[in-house]
Amino acid sequence: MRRPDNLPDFSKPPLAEVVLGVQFSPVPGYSSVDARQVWELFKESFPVVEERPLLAPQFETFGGANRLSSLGFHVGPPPVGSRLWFLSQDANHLIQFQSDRFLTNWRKGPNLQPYPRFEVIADSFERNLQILADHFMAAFKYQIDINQAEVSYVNLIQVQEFAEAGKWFNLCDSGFIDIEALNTNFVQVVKDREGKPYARFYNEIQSVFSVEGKRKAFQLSLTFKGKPATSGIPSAVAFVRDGRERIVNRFRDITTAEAQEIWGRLS
Amino acid sequence: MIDSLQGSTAFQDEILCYAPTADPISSLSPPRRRVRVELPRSKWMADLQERLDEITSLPRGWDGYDGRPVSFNAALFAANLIERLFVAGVPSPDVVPGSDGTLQIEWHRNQYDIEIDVLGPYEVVAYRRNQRTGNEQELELQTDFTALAGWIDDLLAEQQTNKKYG
Repeated sequence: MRRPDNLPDFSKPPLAEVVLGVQFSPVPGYSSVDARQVWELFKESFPVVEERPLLAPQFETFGGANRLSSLGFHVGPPPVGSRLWFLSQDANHLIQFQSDRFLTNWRKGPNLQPYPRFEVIADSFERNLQILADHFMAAFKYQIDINQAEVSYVNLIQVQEFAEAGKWFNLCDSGFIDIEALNTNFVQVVKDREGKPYARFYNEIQSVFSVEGKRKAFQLSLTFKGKPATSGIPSAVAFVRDGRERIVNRFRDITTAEAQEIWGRLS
Repeated sequence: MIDSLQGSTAFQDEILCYAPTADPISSLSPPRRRVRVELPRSKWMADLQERLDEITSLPRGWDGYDGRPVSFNAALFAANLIERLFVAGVPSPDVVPGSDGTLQIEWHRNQYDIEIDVLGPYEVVAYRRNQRTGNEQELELQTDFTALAGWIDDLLAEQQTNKKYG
């Protein structure tokens, strides 16, 4: 995969995490005992396993008057099973797997690593997703049926005071206000060439503290999520690539020229 | 470099209708203790919650043949759709299980019928018929349910017309 020429580029982006993921129809007949076989597929590069709570299915739908309807519902018996994290030895890369989700995360910590760039993460995501799909076909005669894809960039911008928001973001000019906390989010419905909505673009700026509570930062999270054009892997990867371009351009648009200079804007 | 974070506690949980915009796919934030407050649901969902629980818990062969329970994902997608389409003043629909794990959301009122087949997430076939005019329409839908919202508005209008002249 090659980086598009027109995308803004930074030598020291404040990226803390990149997540690429898909949601698919649950594998028929899959149960928790089959998880070990899935781990075997990735064990060599991801030897450490952790268990996490399941992610609930999410659907991005449009139309109708009730805008809060994409929030989660609970129907039927409580879901069973768990989400597994397969971590690389340095814990900077991880795969998240449950019977209807597959995600790849790269994160800057805990062992500080330079950003490997999107193309490297996306290639790994596509390759590993194909390995999983091949396993589903061999073990369950199940053709992966992807119904949603997402890409998320989490940036951490360390600051002395939250009143500096205007230095970093075009959206905020706090002036003399002594800000204790800042939470801004907006959601954009993304439409195709025919004007049909197919994705949502979540934009969120949040003031956060380090665990010991002494250091301050703004967390800028940009997430693009929706239904790819078809249910196969190439379409999901194309969706994620489209989302990445929108995220990088949005990052350029909502951050200031002064901030971009600090992050080493190259183009 | 801040390498591990906790979210700001500033007011988020106290703001009415505040809702997180994404599910916790990020690995950065440690799990936060948060009081789960049920968001206000529409009357339709309040009426149908028990019914949705029931049809996803049906035993195999529930129809006397080889009928499957309604799939969890289809029911969840239907719940999302029902909430999205809610219009005050229109009675709650009937929800009918299909023997193949699908479900149907139906209104039959004042000679006006709407049937929405939820085959699975993003797989919806909708049909409406006005028995008085003989007009019929069928739509295949995936993500955009704007047209269905229009049908529900028409159902409300039919209902109000009937009340006025009936």
